[in-house]
Amino acid sequence: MNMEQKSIISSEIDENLALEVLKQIPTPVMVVAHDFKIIFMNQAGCAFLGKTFDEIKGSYCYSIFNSRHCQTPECRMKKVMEGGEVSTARNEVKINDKTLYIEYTVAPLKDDNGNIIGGLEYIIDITDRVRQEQKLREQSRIIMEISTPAIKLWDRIVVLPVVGVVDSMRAQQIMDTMLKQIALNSSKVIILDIQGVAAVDTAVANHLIKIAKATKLMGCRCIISGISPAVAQTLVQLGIDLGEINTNSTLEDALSDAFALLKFEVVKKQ
Amino acid sequence: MSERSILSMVNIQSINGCLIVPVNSEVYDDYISHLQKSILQKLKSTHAKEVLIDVAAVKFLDSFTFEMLKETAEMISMLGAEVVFVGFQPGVASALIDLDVNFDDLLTAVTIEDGFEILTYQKTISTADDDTTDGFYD
Repeated sequence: MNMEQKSIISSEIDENLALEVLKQIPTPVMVVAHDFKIIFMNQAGCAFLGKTFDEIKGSYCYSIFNSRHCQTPECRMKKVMEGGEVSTARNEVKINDKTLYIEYTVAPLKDDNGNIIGGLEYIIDITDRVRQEQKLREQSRIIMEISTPAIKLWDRIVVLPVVGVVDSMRAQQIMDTMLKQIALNSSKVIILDIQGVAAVDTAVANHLIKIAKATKLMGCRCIISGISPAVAQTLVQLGIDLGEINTNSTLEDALSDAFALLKFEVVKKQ
Repeated sequence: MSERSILSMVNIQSINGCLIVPVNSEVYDDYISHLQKSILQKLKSTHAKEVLIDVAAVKFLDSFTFEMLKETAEMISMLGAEVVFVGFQPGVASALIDLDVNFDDLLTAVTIEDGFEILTYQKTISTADDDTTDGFYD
């Protein structure tokens, strides 16, 4: 350990050193006066804005950042200056016509008498994180959409093949899709094909019963098809009563049932 | 809301012995009880045997107002008429399922055309044999 480092540790940090530390912090730090004029911005802050400190000094912070919160009651700086607590918020800023996402934390600056004379703000650039989140959300939406297709099979007959795992969120989504389809096509029969559902337990069965009830309330008939022997066994062993819901083992049978309900007849050409 | 403005919101039409009752988008208990009275009075004066309640405009329905609608249906059946609900919105249907309401004995249809078909079907089975309850639309 050399002499200089020793002196930093042993003696109190003097003002110059403190300022230097503040300047070197790798995330933007800004101090504004009571009138929102910028009185300090560290190096990272200047780099973030793409300007030198001399250009920024004395400008109003809202004219520099153009954020969503600027000059609205949402501005955390304003809240802090009015005596609020230290707080962190997400925000969207516009710098050089580029939209960046930030997370900023604001603390009040007080004089010796405890009067608030300004505010200290440090900013974390979370643009990449927000972009990732948006991408993730978009992807999960797409996955949701492709996982519950509704196929119009015939005039007023719609088929909904369900593949994978049915949890309560998925069941809700299936129900939403079905009910929307019924309203859209004024479907009379909707076939829920559960051949691709890995396992049917009490929860899944309850979801299916709920879905069937909802379709009935809309004035549509629901046929559940694709019930495998194993599923039939489990449902009976679990003591689940599917009530009035029509069930079939294959989609083919369900379709012919649907035709019967709609009084259609399939006739072979002579 | 004043009596007059509630009155103006109830518009029951009769077509071939079938009452068509459109329900307003804003459903609250005063309105439903007024609607109830109007339907029953109209039923008595026109001797209609079929009632079609169109709920397609209703965007929100709580369990209480739904119960009132159900009671209305029961009253109508008590007067010897068949009743069918038409056009429940997807949002309303899924909310009612979440509220776990019981609607086993309600007749429902997607379109008014289907509603008429169901009413006709109900009439044929009730005139043919009173004990016959199973069929397509029960």
